[in-house]
Amino acid sequence: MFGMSEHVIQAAAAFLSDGTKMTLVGASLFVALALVLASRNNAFSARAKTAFLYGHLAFLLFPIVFFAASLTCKELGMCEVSLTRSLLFTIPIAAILALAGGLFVVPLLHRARGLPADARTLKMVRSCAREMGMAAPDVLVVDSGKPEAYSVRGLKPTIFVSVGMLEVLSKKELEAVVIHELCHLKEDSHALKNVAVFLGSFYPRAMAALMSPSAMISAEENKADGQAVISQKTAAHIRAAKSKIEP
Amino acid sequence: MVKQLDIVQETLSPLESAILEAIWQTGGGESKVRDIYQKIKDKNPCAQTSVAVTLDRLYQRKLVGRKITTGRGGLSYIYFAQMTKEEYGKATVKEAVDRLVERFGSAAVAYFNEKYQK
Repeated sequence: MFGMSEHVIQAAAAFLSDGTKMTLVGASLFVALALVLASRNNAFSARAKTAFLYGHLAFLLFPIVFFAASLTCKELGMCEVSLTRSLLFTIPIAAILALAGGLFVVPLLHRARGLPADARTLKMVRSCAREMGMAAPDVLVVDSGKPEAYSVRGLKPTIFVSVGMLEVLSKKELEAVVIHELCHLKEDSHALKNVAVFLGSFYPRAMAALMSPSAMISAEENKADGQAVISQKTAAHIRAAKSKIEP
Repeated sequence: MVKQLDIVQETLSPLESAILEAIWQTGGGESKVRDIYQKIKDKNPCAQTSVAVTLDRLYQRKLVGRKITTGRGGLSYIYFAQMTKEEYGKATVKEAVDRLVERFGSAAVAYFNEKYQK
C-alpha cells in the first residue's frame, strides 16, 4: 500500500513537471474561475448561470481526469494503474450522479407524497400559467398543516401547496405564491439551485465571495417576488403571503 | 394545602393549551383552523398561521386527529380531539411516573409503595 502511494506521488510529480500538461491544467483552472465569476452576474438568466456553473465544475474536474488518463504502466504497475484510475474517475462520476439525483430523483420523491389538488387551486394555476405564457405545471397538495409552497422541475414540472397554505392564505395571496412558483419554473431556478448548492457544499466559507449559493438563491427569490408584483400590480399580496408563511 | 395546577396549562404552551381547550369545549367535535382561531384570538392574540402551525404540531404529537375535506374554499383540515381532557391528564401522569420508574427502578417503586400503600 505504501509502495503504491509512493508510485502515485512519483507519477504526480512527473505530471506536474510536464510543461505542456501544466499549461493545459492552468488554462482549465483559469476558465473554471472565469465561469464562476460570470455566474455571479445577475444580468444573466438562471439558465445561463446554470450553464456557467456546470462548465465551472467540468473545468475544475478536468485536471483530475487528465491526470488519471495520463497514468501509464511505465510509472505504475498494471494493477496500480487500474486502481488509481478507478479511484480518480470515481470523483467526476459521483459528482454527475449527485447532480442527476438532485435534478430527477428528488422531484420524484416529492411527487410520491403529493395528493391531488382541488378544482379551485388547479384553475388558479392554469389561469396564471396562461397569463405568463407558459404550459401549466402539475399541482399537488402536501398533507401538512404548516403553510408552505414549493415547486420541482424534474421530468414533470410540479407546484406543491400544503393544506395549511390553502387554509390561511386569501385567494389573492395564494395567487401571488402561485405566480412566484411559476416564475421559478419558467426561469428554471431549480437547476441553478441544484448545482449551486452542490458546489457550495464543497467550497469553504472563505470562498463565499467567489460562489455563494445563498446569494444566488436569494436573487432568484427576489426575481420571483418581482414577477408576482408585476402580474398583480401590487406588492401587498406577496408580502402578506410571505408574512404568513414565514411568521 | 397546595393549589392544584391545571395539567394542560402546565404541560403545554399557552397557545397549545388554548387550542386544545377550544376543541374540548366543542365536545371534542370537529373544528376547522378558522373556527378555532375565532374562538381563541381574543384571549390569545396571535395570527391564524400560528394556530395552523400549532395544530400541525399537536397532530404530530397525536393529541388531535384530522381529516381533509373539500369545501367552497378548496381543501382544508377538520381537526378533532384524540382524547378527553381527563384522558390527557391521566396519560401525562402515567408518562411521568413511567419515566421515573424506568430511570430509578426499584427506588421509585419502593417510594410509591411506602407513600401510597394505605
